[in-house]
Amino acid sequence: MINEEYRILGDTVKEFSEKNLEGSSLKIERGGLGDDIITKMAAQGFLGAKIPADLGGSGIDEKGYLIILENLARVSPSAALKVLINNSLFYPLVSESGDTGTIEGVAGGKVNATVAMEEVQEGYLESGKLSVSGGRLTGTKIGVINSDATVVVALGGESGKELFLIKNGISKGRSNPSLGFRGLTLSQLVVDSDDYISLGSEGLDRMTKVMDSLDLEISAIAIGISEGSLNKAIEYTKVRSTFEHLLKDYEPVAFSLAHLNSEIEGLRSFLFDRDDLNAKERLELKFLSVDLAKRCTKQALQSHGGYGYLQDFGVEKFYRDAMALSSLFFRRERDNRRLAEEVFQGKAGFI
Amino acid sequence: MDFDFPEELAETRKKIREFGLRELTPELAEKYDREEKYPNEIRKKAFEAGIINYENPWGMLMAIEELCRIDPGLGISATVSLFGEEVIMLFGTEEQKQKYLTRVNSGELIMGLAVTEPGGGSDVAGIKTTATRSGDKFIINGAKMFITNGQIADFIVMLVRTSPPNGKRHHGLSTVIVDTKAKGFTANKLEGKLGVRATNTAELVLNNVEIPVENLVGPEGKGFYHIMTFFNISRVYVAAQGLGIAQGALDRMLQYIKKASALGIAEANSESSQFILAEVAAKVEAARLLTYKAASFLFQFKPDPIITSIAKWHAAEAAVFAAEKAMELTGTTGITSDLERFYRDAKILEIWEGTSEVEKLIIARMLTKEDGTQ
Repeated sequence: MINEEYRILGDTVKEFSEKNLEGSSLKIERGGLGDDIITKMAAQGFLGAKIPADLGGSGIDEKGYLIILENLARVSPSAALKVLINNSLFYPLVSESGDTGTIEGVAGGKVNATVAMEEVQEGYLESGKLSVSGGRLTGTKIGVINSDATVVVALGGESGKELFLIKNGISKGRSNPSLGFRGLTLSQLVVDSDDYISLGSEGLDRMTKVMDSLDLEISAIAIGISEGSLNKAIEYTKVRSTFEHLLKDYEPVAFSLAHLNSEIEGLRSFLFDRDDLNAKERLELKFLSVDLAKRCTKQALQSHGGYGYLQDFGVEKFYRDAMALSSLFFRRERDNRRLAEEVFQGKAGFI
Repeated sequence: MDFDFPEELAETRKKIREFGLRELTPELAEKYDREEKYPNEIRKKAFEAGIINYENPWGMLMAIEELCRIDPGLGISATVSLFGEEVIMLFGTEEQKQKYLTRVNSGELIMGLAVTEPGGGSDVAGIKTTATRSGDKFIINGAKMFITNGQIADFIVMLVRTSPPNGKRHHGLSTVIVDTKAKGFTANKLEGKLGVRATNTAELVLNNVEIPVENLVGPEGKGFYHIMTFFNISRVYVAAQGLGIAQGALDRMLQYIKKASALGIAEANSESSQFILAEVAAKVEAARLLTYKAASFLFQFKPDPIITSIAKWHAAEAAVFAAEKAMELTGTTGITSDLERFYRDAKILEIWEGTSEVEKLIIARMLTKEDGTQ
């Protein structure tokens, strides 16, 4: 796509988000994304944005896809994560399965899919297991995001490294307290299935590679979260007075928000103005963007005072989602080592 | 200078910890957070067990610290039923102390303090709620916001305007006791808080609420001074909340590292992990020293507002920092454990009882004043 097309796409997603997600923000946080929003997202082609057109997707290029993620995350990080699960987790893992029907269903919003990633999310201590016996795949996966799904990709088998596409017999287990992305459910997933496909024995490696390839997607969502929260703070401080002056007129408020705005603009430029980002730069963007999202959402909440602590003002969700994004997709040790190895052009940071 | 507590207080701490571990169970903490419900049974048990004892200020401080260390929402709820009583204790009449404080200190009644107003925030002198004298009564009209215990309190100490400011905004303010069963008093529970969801928070609406003139606490027109004096006390207790939350996050980091190491996950105890642990431990220890220093001044009846504000600000920041670092260290384990609640709960400490920004201004302005710069 040429630049003008990217601009139009950005405006379109922004308009969609403001029209369909902003007003439903509280509803999404309390009750999930819901069929109505999923249908609208599917109609826009977001759910299969990166999936090829011949498989029911939109076949959009990388920059266009990142624009969608960023602009959804500005209003609803949960909606952005839903798009990421479909396009950047599920599809790459099942693309060679030959199960075009399921892929088309996911791209069109008819099939709700997720990926149980616990084994590749650093820090998880109590991984669940899936075992094959008598033609059935059974077991429990822990800490699965979007666990309302009816189709799941997960690791299991004797080695624990075999990848499976599971198409029935999935139910939600014990719910986890949900820090962020409350538009999607976080819970255990109980599997007792007789309809599953093995996607190969090298599943752990494939899943790790998929996780390693998400640097720009996570950056786009983190930047969107930063923008969404900062916009709320800027608008709030323009109208809220204390000690007989607008909040924006106080140095500490204005200076801190202005600095954060500069950082966002810098990172947006880094993400969208270059077409040739190498592996090191992609990873750097992820480090900087996730860190910025955490700082930005904290300051945005603080700028709202007590009102920021209430769901109604729509800023606390960004604070939760920024940390949830970090917990789910920023693997501290692995990503730090990857970055060190890029910088030192070899093995580094292993003692 | 001795940094150890006397044996008697060490025993008190042990007793509080045992009570907390027994009564503030993970299941209850999760339930009250999810349901946004005040744990009145736990509060009652804390009184019965002698955990809440205002005659033992160090014990009270330790109760806040130790219970918040186990769970911030339940810990604050169990220890906050006397919130605001210092205003009556310091400025009230003997009759008021007998009528209200005796029953609050025994756990029979719950009280609250109402200063903040909708759209008011940190600007205490800017309140708009009025109390107009009419014979032997005051008639109160206005609204209060973010009032802890607002919906469950039996009575509330309230800051009201009893006369025009006459050029100085903090003049003409008074503190009064308002019975929550009075006609015209409405409390609307605030739901959907980010954290400390077990605590009760409400918006109060006062529509021609009548109170007898004897409910005036201290001299009329001195309310601003009463509240500022109170904040110099309550901020020490908020610092203890921060210390407890920060220590609780550190406890969980250590548990994670031990468990992960036992499972052979070497990364959990890598040098970079150890650095994070050390940074959190240093913040916690600094919060501890500052909180105890501020408390020591306070309990000797010579509170130091600079030290109090430094302690409150630093302990709040330490709580947020520790919870953040614990989440980052533990990754997906943290997001599916009670650490996520610590992360949500900690943030309120940088807002209530004076935002971090207000604390910084107090520190700087008092320092420059002492220095003669102003």
